[in-house]
Amino acid sequence: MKIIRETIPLTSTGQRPTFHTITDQVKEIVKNAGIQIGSCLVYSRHTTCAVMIDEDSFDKSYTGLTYLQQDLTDVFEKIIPTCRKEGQYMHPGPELTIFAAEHGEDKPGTLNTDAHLRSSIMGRSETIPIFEGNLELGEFGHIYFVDFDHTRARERQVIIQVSGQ
Amino acid sequence: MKIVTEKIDLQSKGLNPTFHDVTNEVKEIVKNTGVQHGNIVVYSQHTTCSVMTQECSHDKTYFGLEYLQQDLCNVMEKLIPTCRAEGQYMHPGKEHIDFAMSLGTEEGEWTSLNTEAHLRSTFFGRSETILLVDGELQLGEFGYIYFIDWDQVRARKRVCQVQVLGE
Repeated sequence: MKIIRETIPLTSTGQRPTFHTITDQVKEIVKNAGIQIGSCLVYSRHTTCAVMIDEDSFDKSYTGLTYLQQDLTDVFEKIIPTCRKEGQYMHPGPELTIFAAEHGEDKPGTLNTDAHLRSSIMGRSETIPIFEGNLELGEFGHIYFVDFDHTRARERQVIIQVSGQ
Repeated sequence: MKIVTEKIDLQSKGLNPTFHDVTNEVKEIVKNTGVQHGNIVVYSQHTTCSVMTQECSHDKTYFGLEYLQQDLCNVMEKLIPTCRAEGQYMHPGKEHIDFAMSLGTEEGEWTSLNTEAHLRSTFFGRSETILLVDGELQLGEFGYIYFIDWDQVRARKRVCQVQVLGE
């Protein structure tokens, strides 16, 4: 049994949800691990981010999102609208705002309530089986790290843990 | 430490989302590995499918969906309505359709009108990880494992993967 952990650093655009395609990097990590059978955990500890698997939709909107990413963003806009100002959601409350300021986050930076909610619906990890040395993504599967925080460009880390033999 | 991967072949009906109850097959796979402690991953590589654990709701609709499954479909219908025609969502766009038709396997452009299935599938995720203690899957008394095929446009052959990891 072997366990290998690697970190992929990413920077979001900050203007809208950012979808980072990390399929090639994850495949490279799995290949270098030399594991034939096991599983690959793609994990985010950021509470406004998510990990998802989907196919490449090819066409892109003017914002640079693929059509499927734009459709997903549109669905979220309907059910969990973008937080534009304080009071729209209960979070961020006064205590959080003070706590955030003490940790270097300004007031506009706390207006990412929609990102927290969207992130918890999508989940923060995916586990992908490895069989005969290959990630079981099928022919068209891609791994996306989604940064739902639109308040600013942020540096993020996604952790890849490969375990198996 | 032992790792075993098995596959379960499934066939959806089309017309509605199909919920395959794979609990017994998964339990059988776990039993045959002899693994007592660890975890199992039930996984779908299909980007219009999901895996979930839920209780059996007993009552069924005329279409054969358990009531909880029908309720879940009704909620999803409200949040992410079924794709009925091109242009309702941005996907599938022209490049995607050109690619799909170039494969030579698609019966028509209409097979790509499963946008809602892609979106619903990402909401639910592609896998569940279930704890294994003393050789028993920790599903509780009423827990079942369902492989959901959200693609309604046609009947499809699918594969559900089960990985048992432990000792």
